[in-house]
Amino acid sequence: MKTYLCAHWRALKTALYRLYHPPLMSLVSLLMIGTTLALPLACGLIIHHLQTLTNTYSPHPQINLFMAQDASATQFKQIEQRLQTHAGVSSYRTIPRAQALEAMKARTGWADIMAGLTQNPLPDAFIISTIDHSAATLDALRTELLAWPKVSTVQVDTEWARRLDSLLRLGRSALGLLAGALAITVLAIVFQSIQLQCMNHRDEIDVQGLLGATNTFIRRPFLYFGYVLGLIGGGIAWGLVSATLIVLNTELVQLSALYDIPLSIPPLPLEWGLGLLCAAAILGGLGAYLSVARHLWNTK
Amino acid sequence: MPYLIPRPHMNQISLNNVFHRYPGGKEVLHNINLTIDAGERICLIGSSGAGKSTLLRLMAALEQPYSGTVIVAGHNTSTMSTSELPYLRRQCGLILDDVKLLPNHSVMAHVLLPLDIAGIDRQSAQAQALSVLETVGLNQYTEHSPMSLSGGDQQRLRIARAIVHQPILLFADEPTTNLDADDAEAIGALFRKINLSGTTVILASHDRQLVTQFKPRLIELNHGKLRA
Repeated sequence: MKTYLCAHWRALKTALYRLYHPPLMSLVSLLMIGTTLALPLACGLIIHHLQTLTNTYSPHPQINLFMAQDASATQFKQIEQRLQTHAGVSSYRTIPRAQALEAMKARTGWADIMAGLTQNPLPDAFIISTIDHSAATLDALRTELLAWPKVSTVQVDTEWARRLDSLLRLGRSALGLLAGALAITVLAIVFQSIQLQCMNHRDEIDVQGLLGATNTFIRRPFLYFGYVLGLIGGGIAWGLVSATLIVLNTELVQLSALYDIPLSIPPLPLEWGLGLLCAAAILGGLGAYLSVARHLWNTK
Repeated sequence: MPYLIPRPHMNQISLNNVFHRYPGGKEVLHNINLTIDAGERICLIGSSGAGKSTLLRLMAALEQPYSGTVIVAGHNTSTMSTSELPYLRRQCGLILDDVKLLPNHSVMAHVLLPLDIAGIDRQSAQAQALSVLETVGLNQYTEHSPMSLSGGDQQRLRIARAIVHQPILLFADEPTTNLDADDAEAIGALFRKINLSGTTVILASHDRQLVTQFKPRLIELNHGKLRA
């Protein structure tokens, strides 16, 4: 067991030595891996944060029901009675047209406009809260309400949140594809780096083979090289994203003051970072394995 | 793990009706029948192009015959799997042009390599490597690059690397080429010493001094055929 562990330790030392000899080649590969991994990581973090914001700031879905202009007080009462007995409605609030007009007049800048009107242009309205907040239920209720007499318009006021959610879902799908494409790019970078390593150490590989080394023995330092390349590349991506967040957050502080919403993006969670390092190391190892396998196959 | 265990045998190497030719080339070996027993010292002789090196490479399992069978340490080199081959190689020592010296490895690293491959623990390996370097007279150059050594010392290093894991078979192709008379004599003495320790030594050479000094069983090749 000790001999086995020593063999792995020697392979790791060889891999680390090769990382710095020559240093520039490895540095270029590391920067390429780091920037390649940083892109989907940053996008993922932003989408995750937007999702959190949407969940936090989108209120419970409410339905705004507007009566027709010519609806009478009796018809308004009838609609209210229907809402009282409706199984899908948890609560509602009435806004009579006169009250709405007074509220409008009270707003700065609107008083003069309202004073010029000969009659109240606003309809009677209800703000309805539902028991079930699902999109399907809201749509069904909206259709039902529209069919009621003297109901002019029914609006579901969470439309913007749903649109944003759809956009985020689209973003997540695009991110998945991007991450897949960039994972292949990382594989290709590691593959190419190890091919160069194999070329540089071709004599050594040949000699090892002639002295009775198994493919496992020959492959081992290259695998460690791939793992280390992936790990450091992942670390660079982590650092790049963290640095970008610091810069972005400085700008977002000003923006958040305007909208009164805390817009700053939190730092990369530790589990995300560790997951990134693991994924990068696995990609590095896989790229190295494929690369050495190709070299050994060609040599054979 | 397909560890190769030497099977009981008297004949360490046996070639039966071996023919060999390179793709698109002419026949290099013609109907070779040959047995080599454990502990023998053999010298393959013949003019340039007679097929000495090819025969040596077939016996070292570096190549497979075009037809016929080559049995080394009880294993048919044509039918053994690629995963078994490394374990056969570990029973052989090779002093061939293919087994190059590596410029960025020290003398000690060269000698440690076969022991690392064999999975010997580092402490024993270092002791064994030092002992072999002492045998070949390179113990004062352990940290030197092989490129800083003389031709004779480089050949000693190749020998040290080939014998450090105590192989049962040692193959050497023209081991005294480019060496002066003194170095060649020293190398010859070294081969004799290795053979006396029980290793079967098979050389391919047309160095008369080495042949005289080594006193081997001579196997003469002429245009790919064994001379009776």
